[in-house]
Amino acid sequence: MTDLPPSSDASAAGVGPGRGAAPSTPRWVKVSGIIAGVLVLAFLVMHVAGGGMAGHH
Amino acid sequence: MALTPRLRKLALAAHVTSSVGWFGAVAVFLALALAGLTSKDGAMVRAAYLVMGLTGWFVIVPLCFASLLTGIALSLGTSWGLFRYYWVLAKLLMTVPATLVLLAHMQPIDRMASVAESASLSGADLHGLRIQLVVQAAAALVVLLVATVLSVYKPKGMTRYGWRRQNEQRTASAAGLVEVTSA
Repeated sequence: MTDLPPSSDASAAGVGPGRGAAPSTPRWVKVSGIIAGVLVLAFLVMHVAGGGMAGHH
Repeated sequence: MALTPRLRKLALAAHVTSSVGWFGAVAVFLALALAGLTSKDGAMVRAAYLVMGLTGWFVIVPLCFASLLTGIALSLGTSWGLFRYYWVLAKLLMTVPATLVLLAHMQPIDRMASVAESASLSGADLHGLRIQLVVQAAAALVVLLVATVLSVYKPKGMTRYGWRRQNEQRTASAAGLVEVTSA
C-alpha cells in the first residue's frame, strides 16, 4: 500500500472504459481461490482424520 | 475516514515494520522447530522449545495483531478500501484465518515449552506435536510470503462492490460539478 489506486480505474477493474458492465473476476483470483480451497480442505482432512488435533487436547 | 498523508505514512511504516517483523519471527520459529525436531542434543532441544514459547507470545502474537490492525486501518483510511480490490481482500482472507490459527495453536506451543521446562526431551517424546510445529511454521511462512508478494505487485482486479462504489463516487462528483458550473 505504498501508493494509492489510480483515480480513473477502468484498467484495474478489469473492464473497458464504459461503466455499464460489471468487472469480470480476474484469472489470478479464480486460480488462487481454487488452490486456497484445496489447501483448506487438505488442512481440515489432516486435522480430522490424521489426528493432527492431538496438540489441542 | 480518509487518513491525512502524514498519518498514512505513519500507518504504512507501522504496517511494513510489523509485517516484516512477523515474517522474520516466523522464520526464526521455523528454525527453532526444526532444531527441536532434529537435534540430538537434549539441551538444544529444550532451549529451542523454551524460546519458541517466549517468541510465540511476546513477538509473533503482538506483531500479528499489529500487522492486521494497521493493515485494516490503512485500507479503510485510503481509497484502496477493504473490499474494493481483490488483492486487498485476498490479504485480509489470509491474515484473519492465520491469526485465528496462530491463537489456536499457541496451546500446543505452550505445552511443548512447559514439557521442556520441567524435563529434558528425548527424540521420541511428543514426536507428532513437534512435526506439527514445523509444518505450521512452514505454512505460516508461505502465507506471509504470498501476502508480501500481493502487497508489492498489487495484481489488477476490482470487486463488484468496489466497482459499484466507484460508480457512485463518479456520479456524485459529476453531480457536484454540474451544480458548480450552473451556479
